[in-house]
Amino acid sequence: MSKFIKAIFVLASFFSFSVLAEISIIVHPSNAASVSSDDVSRIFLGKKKSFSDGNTVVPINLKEGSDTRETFNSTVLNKNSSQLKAYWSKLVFTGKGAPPKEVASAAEMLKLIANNPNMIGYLDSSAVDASVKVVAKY
Amino acid sequence: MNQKLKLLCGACLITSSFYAAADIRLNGFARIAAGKTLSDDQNHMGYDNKLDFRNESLFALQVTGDMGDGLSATAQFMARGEDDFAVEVEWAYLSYQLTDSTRLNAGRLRIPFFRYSDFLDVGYAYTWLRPPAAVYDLPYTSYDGVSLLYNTYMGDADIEVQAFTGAAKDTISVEGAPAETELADVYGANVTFNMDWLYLRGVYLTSKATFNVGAPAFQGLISNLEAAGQAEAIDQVLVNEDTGSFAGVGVGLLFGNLNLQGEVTKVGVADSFIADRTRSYVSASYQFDQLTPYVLIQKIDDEANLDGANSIPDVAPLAGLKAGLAGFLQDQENTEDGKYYSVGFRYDFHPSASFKTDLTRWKGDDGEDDKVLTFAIDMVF
Repeated sequence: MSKFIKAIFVLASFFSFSVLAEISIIVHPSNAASVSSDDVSRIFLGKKKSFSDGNTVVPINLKEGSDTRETFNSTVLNKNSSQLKAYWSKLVFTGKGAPPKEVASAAEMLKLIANNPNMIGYLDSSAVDASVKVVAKY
Repeated sequence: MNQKLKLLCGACLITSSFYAAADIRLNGFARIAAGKTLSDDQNHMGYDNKLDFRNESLFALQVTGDMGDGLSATAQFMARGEDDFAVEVEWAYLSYQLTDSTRLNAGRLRIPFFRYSDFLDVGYAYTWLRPPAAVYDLPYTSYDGVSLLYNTYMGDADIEVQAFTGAAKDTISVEGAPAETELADVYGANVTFNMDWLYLRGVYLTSKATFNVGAPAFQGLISNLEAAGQAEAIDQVLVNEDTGSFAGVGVGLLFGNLNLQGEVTKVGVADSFIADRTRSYVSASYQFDQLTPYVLIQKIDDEANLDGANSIPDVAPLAGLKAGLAGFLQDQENTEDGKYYSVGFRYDFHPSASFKTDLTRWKGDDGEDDKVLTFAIDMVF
């Protein structure tokens, strides 16, 4: 019985951990631009196309269905996935914009951001390493 | 290496680099809709009293080639059930990002008459089953021309300014017969102001309108006016390079999950038989997670353009002609005026698809009273 309770406890703490996962916004280590939380949201909604220093910004998304992306959508962009889909379909089908490019994994995200000063991405804080610079946490 | 081979290799390189640089994107959307009127033998919004699956169903595929450096080409192919699913090019344009905030589009584009004009057919992008029919009741959806789009923001507000020019053509039904119509020299501008809880929009455009109306009743009227020597009345009735204008405002308010919105539009074609149109709607919807019920009220309040009849002198021999023309012109208002009342809901049953149901009642000022029930599934992919 106590094993069972323990298992539930472990499961519950794991669950709450994944819900409370912290998101880190990451850029290339050489990128010195300041990035406010408004900027992050504008960049990922296609409204802002350059960093504060004037360099072009290219946002990178994790693939659809990823838990980290869901958390990013709800905490940073304040939208659920169907609202975002409706938002992008308004832009995509009217020639006004295209959604950010996607990568399949955290490793791919790290590799891209670490090699391109124009890119900005996000990861679960636990997946971030020293190859990138964290500009904000949520 | 001989010259020929060198040239060939050069060509190979160029071709392969074109392929590598162009990033091709495919997107699409589809709608399957079924509807019927609830009365005996009337037609409304394309439906009669037998369940119909074609009238508002459609399938669209969009191809975008992104050449990099802000240049892209897009074509949207659409097959509509009401046209027997014949494929038509709805949009086809080049887009060039001039600066971070300015984009130039050229080709076949959507005329931004209304808030939802740009994505009229993308049901997934809005809550209602269909955009408000009384207001969104203009034949032209696309034009051929250019559009300059400027985006900026002030504090929390996004501001978008669009200027456009071009020409549009469409065959519409006038007095029960097809009429070829044309809008030439379209010039317009459209400004939207958008923040979290507030949306404001204004649009104005002018154009030279020409309608070639072949309906026998209309032709008969014109020949009677000719026979009576009423050239001025003819001029006041025919739509021949007459100045048309369109003005519209839109407002949207978002309080948490409650969304209130409305639009008012005014359309007129000077010196023509076309009535001055005033159309409006107000709507409320409330989002409970995946389910969003809505109500929508629309009003058509047109005003007949009686100038043609008024130009005929008040003399006994012309009384019949004058009354006939006045009746025809007045009908342009009387057969249109009325109100629509709609209730419905959107249910997001899948991340890329929603199910909608709508019940709309039409109450015409002429006594017509009808209901249309429609179901639809909207998808984007």
